[in-house]
Amino acid sequence: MNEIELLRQQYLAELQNKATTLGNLLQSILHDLGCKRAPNWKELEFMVHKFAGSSGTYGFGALSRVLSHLENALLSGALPRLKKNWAARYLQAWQQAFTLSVKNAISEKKSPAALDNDLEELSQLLNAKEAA
Amino acid sequence: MRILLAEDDTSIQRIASLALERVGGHQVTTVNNGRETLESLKHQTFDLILLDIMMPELDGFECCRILKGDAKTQAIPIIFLTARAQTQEIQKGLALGAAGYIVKPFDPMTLPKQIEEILSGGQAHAS
Repeated sequence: MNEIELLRQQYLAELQNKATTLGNLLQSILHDLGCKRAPNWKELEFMVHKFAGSSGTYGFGALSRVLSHLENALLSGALPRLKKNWAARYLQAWQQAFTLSVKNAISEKKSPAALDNDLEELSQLLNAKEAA
Repeated sequence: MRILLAEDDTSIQRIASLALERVGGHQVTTVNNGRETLESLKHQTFDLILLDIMMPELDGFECCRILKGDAKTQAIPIIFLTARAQTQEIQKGLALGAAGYIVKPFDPMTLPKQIEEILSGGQAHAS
């Protein structure tokens, strides 16, 4: 096994912990949305940005695409502009796609076509409700 | 080439260092943020700085601005290594005096080649 593959295996071993940390932050943001407190969008943007860059560099393209979707929604301001119940709906749908892509990365499975559909639905959700 | 890699994500530090050392034959020193970059340059000399943008304490843009404003460090080429690939971000980096951009995710095996292309003036933006 070459050294880059060894690093990739090391990254893979750390992946579940990274995913859990991001999942915990998402839960805290969903909680804040529910109780009308201002969510920490900046912290989420930072974490997702880093995760998208590293997962793609280590060859987990599908996972990186899912993370980039949320990063772009945050960077463009589209997600923070949504009404809170729609923002929560987007994040819950995104979390499902994220969980699936982490699971596939860990089991070294290729991205199913369903993931592309999920991303398309997330984009529609953002676009349709941004002005709401 | 002596390269200073400023990147707060250890997983990116590991793979970029490995690629630059083993594939490119360079000597790599890693730091975790802009502040450590400035500190490191007080004691060591480098031929190139690879700078992430989103870093804690002092971000890549601010760090670049300081380095390009200091006579001791302004001649060292800076390449941004970042997942922030929006046009305005690229323009901001170049306006601050960076030699170019490499977009994350990057292919570790071709990272040294991308750097070479930027430094030879061929392309400011490699992805």
